[in-house]
Amino acid sequence: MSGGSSGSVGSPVWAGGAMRRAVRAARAVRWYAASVLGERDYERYVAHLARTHPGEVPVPVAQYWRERHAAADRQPGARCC
Amino acid sequence: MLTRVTSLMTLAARCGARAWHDVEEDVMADQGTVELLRTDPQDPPVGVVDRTPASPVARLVLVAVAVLGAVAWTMIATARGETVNAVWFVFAAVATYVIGYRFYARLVEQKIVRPRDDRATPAEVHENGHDFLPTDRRVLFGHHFAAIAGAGPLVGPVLAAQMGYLPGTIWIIIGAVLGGAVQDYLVLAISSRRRGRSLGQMVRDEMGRFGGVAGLLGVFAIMIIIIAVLGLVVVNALAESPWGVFSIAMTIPIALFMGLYLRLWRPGKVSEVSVIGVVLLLAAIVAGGWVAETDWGQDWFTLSKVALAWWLVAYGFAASVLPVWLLLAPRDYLSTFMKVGTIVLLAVGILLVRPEVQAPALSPFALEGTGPVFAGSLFPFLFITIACGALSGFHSLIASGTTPKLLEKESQARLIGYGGMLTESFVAIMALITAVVIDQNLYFVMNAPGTLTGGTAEAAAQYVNGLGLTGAGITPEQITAAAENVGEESIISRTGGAPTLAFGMAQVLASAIGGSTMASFWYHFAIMFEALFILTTVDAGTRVARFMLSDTLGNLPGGARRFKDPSWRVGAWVCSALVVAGWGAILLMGVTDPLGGINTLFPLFGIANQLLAAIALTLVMVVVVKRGLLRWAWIPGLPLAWDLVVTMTASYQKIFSSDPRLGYWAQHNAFRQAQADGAETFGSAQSPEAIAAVVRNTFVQGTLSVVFAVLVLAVVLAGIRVMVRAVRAGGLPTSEEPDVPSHIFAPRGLVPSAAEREVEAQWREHVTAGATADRQ
Repeated sequence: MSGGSSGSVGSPVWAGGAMRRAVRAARAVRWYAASVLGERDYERYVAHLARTHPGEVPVPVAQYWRERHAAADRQPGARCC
Repeated sequence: MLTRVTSLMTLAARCGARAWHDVEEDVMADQGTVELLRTDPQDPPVGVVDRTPASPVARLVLVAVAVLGAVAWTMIATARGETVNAVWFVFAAVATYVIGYRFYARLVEQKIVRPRDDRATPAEVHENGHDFLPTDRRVLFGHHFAAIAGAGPLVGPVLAAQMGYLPGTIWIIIGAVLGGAVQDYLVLAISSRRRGRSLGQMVRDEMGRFGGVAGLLGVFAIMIIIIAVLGLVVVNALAESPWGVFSIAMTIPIALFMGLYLRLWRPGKVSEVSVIGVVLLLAAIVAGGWVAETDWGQDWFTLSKVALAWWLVAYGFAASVLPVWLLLAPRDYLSTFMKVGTIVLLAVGILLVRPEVQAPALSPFALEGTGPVFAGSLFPFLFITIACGALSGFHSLIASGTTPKLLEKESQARLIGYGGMLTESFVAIMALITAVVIDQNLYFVMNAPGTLTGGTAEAAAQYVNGLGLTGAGITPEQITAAAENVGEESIISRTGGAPTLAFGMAQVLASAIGGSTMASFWYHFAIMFEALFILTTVDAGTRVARFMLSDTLGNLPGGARRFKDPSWRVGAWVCSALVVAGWGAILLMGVTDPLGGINTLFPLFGIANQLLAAIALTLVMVVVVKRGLLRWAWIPGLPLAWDLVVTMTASYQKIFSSDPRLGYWAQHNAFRQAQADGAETFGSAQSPEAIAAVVRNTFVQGTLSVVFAVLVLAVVLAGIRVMVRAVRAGGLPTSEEPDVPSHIFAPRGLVPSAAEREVEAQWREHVTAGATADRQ
């Protein structure tokens, strides 16, 4: 399953204290910002490969991003006004 | 615990021949109102259909929201003679969005989209770890929003504020709920049933070759004008402003540094490099203030509009042929970061400061059509000027092609498509607020073209005091002081919307944080982020248009076929040059236009954007009619009809109006007559060259508006033909992909329901159990 983000928010709900909650909120913001920017794409690619082609060795992270950017070079996405 | 109650018989009855369906009901939890969808008996459910009626508390909250919305609308609409607080705009908007999302979007969902979570989305079927990638709905929401929202919703509402605050507010909110959000949602839903195909491809698939070709040409032409006008906005914001030019220029080395950092040192560390980039960016804004004080800084970075336009052309060309990783990708990270950050900052600022609105509800310009910012009366030109934020055709290019390839579940399209557009609409409301809370004399000082204000503080004050605005007039000293306050030499005739927004934002944020000493920082901060968005649109747009061009050229016979090969550098350079020449010519035309540029070109931008919406909505309507959903065809039909009435009236007036201020050809003929008579000056043209420029510009603008209207009418007619055939045949097959069973689960909305949480827990257990079994 790929929607399991809530796990990355960390400590359980009952964890009390304003400090804990602030840390959790900060972690959630960090998770969100990183995910929107695409930082987790490589992890997800590795997980995807492990799931669909077990045994296949994933390409290293630098290689993965090279391929991603090469693909974007060939097929650009629009940005709106 | 969940109990299985349904048998194979109900399964077969409900799902016809598709054997992979399974239906199960949770009798214990909700008396059979929660239906669980399964595609594999070994796996937990892949979807939850929750028909539980809203709880009494939820109903009370909805009623409270509706009441708050009604009060807020009453405050805004009936405040006469007394000022109204900007917070009411926020309440009216949010309450209307909540009601629209809860009821209207649900109607659209149930009657047209009919999502099924037991069916896999393209992201799941074609998952490849690259562009097809099921993405967490909250992340995708951010992604989609960052792709659709740019400078457009910030600029249009500011210009439209010349007609008063009320018409713009109504159009932005209602237009989004009934029009823009419906378009985005339905295009997303349709594309995700078609492997995430692009708008152009879908038009060809559903409406045939002719419609497809007209659609493609329309999209291309519209893209060119959009880039040109956004470029004009940047040029107007940065001209004669060494501070702004320096900070924006610095974004290029910053982006290059980020690109190299990611390529060579820390691949994939996107948020790390973005934080570094944002810190450098803020440093560049601060440094801009110092540089603008020095002699060399003023020498180097004070650029005229024409020089800036040439720089922008050079930049656009370079950015579209340089590799993506070096400039475009890092700039996009910065832009996303700044976009979300700034919008949140502005919202918080408005709620903290709660400024009073200075503009009237409805200005005399709305009815007379004689406003200096753009010509024409409320109908249709208000609805043209505010395109992004209410109904923006450009979104259909994102909602098809990009976002569907990341969508995890069909049912999430409502959150992403409809919800994403509502968020953009909210951004537009905030932009409108910043324009109406500043002193209205200053608003017109900044937004009337230079030919009217005369360019000096004395002349500008005299001009604005003669406009008959309500309240006290303005003195030349006040104008100069306002410019000094934001660290600029002059704010007179800074047209294009961006400087006004920056000015209003600086006023709001400075009262919240830092006081007047910070005003100049906030002003340049706002200018910087708007310019950043626009540059991102310029380079991404140039690239997309270049690909459309090379694809089209590649279809020609003979040696041109080589253009199809994206790795052929010569082809890439030629096509980039052609695209840049296209928008560059219009941009230069705009910056040198004796009539003012923005006021002649911005209507063309709005018309173009909304004609694209007409193409998208026609496609949606064709699909709806083909599927036999005639009874609900009014849902896309309503915004389509309104959009066609508005754009066609505007196009008609722009082409045929005999009023030279309004009609391109009337203006053209008047200036040509003057030219033939050998006049030295005519109207706002002060020389024979300027007269010749007007003759040329109005010819180009007039031709463009004819071309746009004809192309869109061609697509609409092609659509009507297909619809008539479909109605006669009682429905027609569409290009939908066959169903594939889904094997993943994700909640539909932002917050998962109780039943969805339980299923999520089951999946976590299932995955862990599976992993343990694999190890043994």
